[in-house]
Amino acid sequence: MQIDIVTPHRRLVTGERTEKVKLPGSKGQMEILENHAELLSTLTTGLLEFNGRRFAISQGFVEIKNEKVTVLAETCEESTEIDKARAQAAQKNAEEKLQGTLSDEDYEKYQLKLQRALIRQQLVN
Amino acid sequence: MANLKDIRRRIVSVKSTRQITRAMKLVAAAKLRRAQDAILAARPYAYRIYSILLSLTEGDAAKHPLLVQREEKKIKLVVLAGDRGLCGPFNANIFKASEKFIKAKQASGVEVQVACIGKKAYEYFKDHGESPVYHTGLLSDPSFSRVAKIADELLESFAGEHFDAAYLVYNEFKSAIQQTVVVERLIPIGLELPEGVVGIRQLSKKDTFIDPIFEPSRQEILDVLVPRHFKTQLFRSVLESIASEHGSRMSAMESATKNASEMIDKLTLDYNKARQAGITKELMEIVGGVEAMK
Repeated sequence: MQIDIVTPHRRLVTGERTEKVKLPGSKGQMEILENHAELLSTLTTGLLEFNGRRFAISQGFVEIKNEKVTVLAETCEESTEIDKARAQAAQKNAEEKLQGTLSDEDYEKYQLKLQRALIRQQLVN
Repeated sequence: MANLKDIRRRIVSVKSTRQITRAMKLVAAAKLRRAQDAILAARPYAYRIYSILLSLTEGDAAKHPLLVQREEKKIKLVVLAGDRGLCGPFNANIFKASEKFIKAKQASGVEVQVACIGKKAYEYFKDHGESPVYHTGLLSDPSFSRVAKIADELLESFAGEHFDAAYLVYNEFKSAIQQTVVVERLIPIGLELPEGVVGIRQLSKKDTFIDPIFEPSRQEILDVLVPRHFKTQLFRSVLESIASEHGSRMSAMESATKNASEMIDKLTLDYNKARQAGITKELMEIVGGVEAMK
């Protein structure tokens, strides 16, 4: 099957062939194999993996149709382009912010940031 | 020969103006190329989101508050202009269109609130007795997350019934030398797309699902997808407006450079004429002096 990864800023992967994709579905990690039924699902912040390439993605959708997997993510970075020091700094910053008192909205925001930073580091290691 | 000196000074000054306008033109051209690339890069994402949305809303299986029209009593107008001037009629056209739109709406008894993106828009409406909301800092770094933040604010106040519909006025990018001002309804979201996303009309039946699995559920996906679609549309408009601004500035600076060159030619001609007149006069004086000594 083919895989496409698209974000609002760029097209990361176009029509690459693969047999297996791991995705962070909003109801838990999922693995898509060939000949999968048509599926439309939301994705959460997490790890995407295929053909030995690893990506950190945040909120999006996946659409599976006619042996074609299309991932629409708000942000997506491949493991090779992640800056470890930056991810660490982001983690620290988010953790510090979460220590203080925050509005619900901000709390959610920094929680997400923390999550993203952790996933990024996980990818690099 | 004070006149000669004056002309020379003017030539120098026009020349340096020409240098500036030429540099601005080149910078605008480079930025335009980048802005165009950004539009192209954003297209596939917008296209896919839209096609999924279409297949989800097909029939009447799923509903979303953002798709439902309310009677318009209060509306919001988002004015998208530039941060800077010297870009031809780019900003002025926007203001003209907004004023017209506001007048028309007010005439039919609708209350209009203004929100601005871009410093020029904010300054204009502040000076015209409005108290607009100002979204700052977006145009220098147009990232999706920044646009999403503005979109979230709009969605929230729509949900809180602070307004019944939101419109956007912006410059649609046709080409480097052509931009058209359009007023578009942002909320409630219309499912027919503006022309900006090329090829979307050719969306065929086979692009829609037969009977897919939805996870978590059709409604939940729609709840996420509709706001996402809205953000994508707003993001696209912002990118188009930025490209238009650079395009507009490029052609404005191009003609400014041309005018400067023409002016320099004319001044040089004047200068040479004045110089020749001076030489002729001196010669006459010498000849006259020689005649007198005879």
